[in-house]
Order: sequence, then C-alpha cells, then structure tokens
Amino acid sequence: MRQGMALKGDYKVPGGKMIRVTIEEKDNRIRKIAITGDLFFYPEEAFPQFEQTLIAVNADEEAIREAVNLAYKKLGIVSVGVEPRDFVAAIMQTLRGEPDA
Amino acid sequence: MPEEAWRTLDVEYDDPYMNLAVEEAIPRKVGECKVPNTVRFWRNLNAVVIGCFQSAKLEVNFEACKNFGTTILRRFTGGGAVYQDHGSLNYAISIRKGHSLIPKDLSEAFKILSSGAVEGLRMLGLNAEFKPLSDIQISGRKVSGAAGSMRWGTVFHHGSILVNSNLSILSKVLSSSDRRLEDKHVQSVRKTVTTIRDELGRDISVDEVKEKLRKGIEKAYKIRLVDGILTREEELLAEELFQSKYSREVWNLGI
Repeated sequence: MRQGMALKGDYKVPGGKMIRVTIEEKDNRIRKIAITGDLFFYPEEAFPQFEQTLIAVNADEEAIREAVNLAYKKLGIVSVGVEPRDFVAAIMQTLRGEPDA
Repeated sequence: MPEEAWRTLDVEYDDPYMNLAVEEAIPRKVGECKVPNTVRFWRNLNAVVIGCFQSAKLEVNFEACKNFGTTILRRFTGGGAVYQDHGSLNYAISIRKGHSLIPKDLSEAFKILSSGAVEGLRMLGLNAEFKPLSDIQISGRKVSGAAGSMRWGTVFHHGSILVNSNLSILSKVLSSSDRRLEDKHVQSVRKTVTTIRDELGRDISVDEVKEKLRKGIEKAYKIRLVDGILTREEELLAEELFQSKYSREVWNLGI
C-alpha cells in the first residue's frame, strides 16, 4: 500500500496546461496535497485555500469532485485553460500511482 | 472625441528582482487612480521567470541556470516559465477595472490584451496570430507568451516577446532536470519556439520591435501613448515590494 508515501503525478490538460500534484494519503484520506503548474487561476490568493479544502477528503473520485466543485463555488474561483474536472483527474491519476498522463 | 492618453514607461533595471517589484507596483497604483493606464516596456538581463503557481524545482534546470548565470524569479501572475535576456522584450499593460476595452470573459481578455502586440508584429510584416490561451505565434511557432491578473482594481496583462533571444540557453534552463529527457526537450523547444529575428530573416533590434509595438497598441486600443516616468509613490512601493517579496528566496524558490 502507498500509505504515508508522497505520491507525485503530472497531468497534461487537453489544450496544454500542466497540473503537477504531490499527495500524501493516510487511512484512505488526503493527508497533504500540493498542486503546482502553469495555471491561470483567479483569484490567485485563493489557491492555498483551494488546496486546503482537499485535506482530509476521502481519496475517491466522488469525494474529490465534490470538494473541488465546492471550493470553486465557495471561493469564487475562475480558471482559464483548466476546469474543475482537470484537477479531479490530476488528483485521481496521482492517487492511482500513475506519474504521467 | 479625443483619443484617450495612456502613459508609457521605459523602465528597466539590471536587478531582475527590482524589475518584478516595479511590475507589481504599477498596476497597484493604476488601480488606486494615482497614475494613468500604463504600458511599460522593459527587459531582464538573464533570467527565468516562473508563474506564481509553479514550482521552481520542477520547472527549471538549476544546474543550467548556474552555468549560464541565470537568475530564477517568480512573478505575481500565473502561467508558465519564460526565459528572458536582453533579446526579449517585455510589455506590461495596466488598465483600470471597468474600462470599456475589458471583456467579462477572461479568455477573451487575453485575446484583446494581446491584440496590440499582434498588431505591432504584423506591422513588421510578420504573420503573427493570437493562439489561445495566451500565446502569439508566427507560422505555428510561439514567439510570445502572456499572463494576466485582475486585482487591486486593475486589469493587468504582460507578455514576453522573443526578439533575438538566445534560444540555446532558453532550451537548457527551461529543460527537464532529468538528463534522459534533456536532449529531447532541447530539440522540441527549437521546433516549437521562434524569434522575430529568425522569422524576419534579418537582424532586428529590440528598439525597432518596441516602436512597432507602441504603434500596434495605439492602433488596436484606439489610444495615444504618452512618454512618462515612474512616480515617487511607485518607486517607494517597488522598493517595499523588492524588500518584502521579490528579493526573497522564500518567494522565488519557496514552492
């Protein structure tokens, strides 16, 4: 099991943007997460909060989708070239241990 | 109706950190209505400038930067890493929020705020085209990237144009640190990126491109650019941003 290890993955969004994810998972929950990339994400100041909302979320697609969508709504996030579903795909790919897409 | 006048600045420093501090000070003061809408032209000596959400460790080849004396910096806007030397012309547009030029849709804003540069490059006889999300291409190859921000009451857009930049250094400093991928990356960059000089097939100075960009911006936005200077308030704010943010390793390399 990958528990406790930092998982890293790069997800190339159709259209060109790159989402790089580092996750630590414990007891099937996201313990730590860092997302970087060549993103256009507004407001920029909301990015740390966006990452923060993913902490303690169940490491399954449904829970992550819900958390990402809620964060977009709650924080008033607008992104260009990257959709909420791309963050979900990047996180899921990393959790599955697939380093590159 | 008389044409609207915007300020234009030629303000650059040898210190790349100060260049980015000024880059932030201007839109802040434009938003406070302390200075007019502004277009700044400037260059860095030898730097990799990464986007605000990027990890320097993942995007930049530190060893190559050390070899070439290239400084690694983080800007306040998103987007990807760019290499800038004295052959790269940076332009930065700061427009007060609510201006009729600015659309609601952010993708459209990138297109409109790149159109002045596209127009200027076309005046040089180049078939320049906006390429979403925020690039300018000539014959399918990228010659400029841009990024933007909407805060402090300002819509801000800046781009970096490869006039006669050293693409050999560019491909190495922005390369993967993974040596197995390095050669492939260098070849790939050379196929997808170009310079104004290469596209024109002649030597061209950054000043010549700047002049066309000025005209292109005036034409595209139906405004008049008036030479100006950085105000004392902007200088003081830039100095503060330099000290508290841009000269600090935690900001530049912290992620």
